[in-house]
Order: sequence, then C-alpha cells, then structure tokens
Amino acid sequence: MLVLARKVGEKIVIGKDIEVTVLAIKGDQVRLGIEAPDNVSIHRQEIFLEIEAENKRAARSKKPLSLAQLWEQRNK
Amino acid sequence: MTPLTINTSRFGPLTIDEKDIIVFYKGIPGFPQLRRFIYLDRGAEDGPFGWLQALDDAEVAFIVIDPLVLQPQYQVAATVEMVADLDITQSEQVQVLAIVTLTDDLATATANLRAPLLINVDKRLGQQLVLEDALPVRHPIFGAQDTQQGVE
Repeated sequence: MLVLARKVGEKIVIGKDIEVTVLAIKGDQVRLGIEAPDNVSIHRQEIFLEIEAENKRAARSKKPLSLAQLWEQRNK
Repeated sequence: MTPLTINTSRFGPLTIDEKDIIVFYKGIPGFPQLRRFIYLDRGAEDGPFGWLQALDDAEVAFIVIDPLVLQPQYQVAATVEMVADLDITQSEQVQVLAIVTLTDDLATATANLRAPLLINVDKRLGQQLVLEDALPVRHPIFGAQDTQQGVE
C-alpha cells in the first residue's frame, strides 16, 4: 500500500484519469472529491461487504408454500 | 444438447438443458465459486418471482424479481466494463433481476435494488452490478405499512 499524507486542498492522481482531492477534514472525517471517467466505478468499501452479506442471507431463503399468494397479499 | 440432472434441496431433481445455463464467470459476491445457474420460472405458482438455481451447489438458489415490478422507474446503466464482460451488443439482450431476501417472517421480504443481476439472455452470461446510486440493499417488497398485516 502506498501511504501519502495530504492536506486539505491537495490532490492525488491515480493512473492517467483519476484524481482524488482532500476537500475538508472535520474531526475524524475526511471529505474526498473523486474525479474519474464514467467507466470507472467508485464505491465506499463497505458496500461490497454489505452486498456479500445480503447475498448470503438471500441464499438461505426457503421456498415458501406460495410466492404467488404472498404477492397477492401485497396487492390487497 | 446434453441434459443434466441436479438434485436441488428446494425443487428436488431437475433436468436441465445445457443451453439454459447462465454463466456468472465471476460468481456473485459471497459465492465466488458458483459460476453456473439456471433461471426457474414456475409460472403462476410464484407470481412475479423467479428462482436462480445454482448448479454447482444444489442447496443455493436465489429468489429473484424484475425490479420494474417494484419500482416502475427503476433504471440501470450498465458500465462499460459490464457491457464488455457480458458481451452486450443490444440493450434488448439484457434482463435485470433483483435478488430477494426472504426470512422466516415473509412480510419483511426485501429486494436488493442496489446490486441488480444483469443477464445477457442471448449469450447466457450474468453478473451482479453494484450501482453507484444510493438505492436500498433491502427494499421492502411489502412496504412499511404492510408489515403490520403480515402473512398468516
């Protein structure tokens, strides 16, 4: 891992097309601005862990007697 | 085409035609080793829901639903990477599905609108896409007001 220290207003450039700017620091929170081309996706890391956890929960879904009936209940 | 049979925990033995197999060559988060799935549409019995049954682990199956049924304005922009990974050449090739989490209390079932499954139905390729939009990972299917009624 490359470790850099940055102050507010300073930037990091990743590859050719990605720029990260430290916009503000408030207490223990850093506000970052990220510029990247549309084809690069940007996510908070926790989202992947959340998706993984939710997929695991979903995989345990049992087969209820009637999903159709469940759906009809919704539309009542 | 060679049919194969798997013994699923929910549906018993299923005979599958190879051409119906959908390949998730990256697996899905939490299940990176599961690469092959089939889509089960049991018709009226399941209402708008379908099942994505894993072939590499007969115990694993996901309830899925077209997110448009839950949110008519739901839109997914496939990333450039996804278009390449799924070999998408026309938007009509793409089927979007949301994974449903069904716990013991059926009324609290939720759909993952944040990370839909994208399937190229022509090429039989699929992948889960994590959207950047702040959509819910657990969108209540029955809505806040319905959880009072529950299901008997």
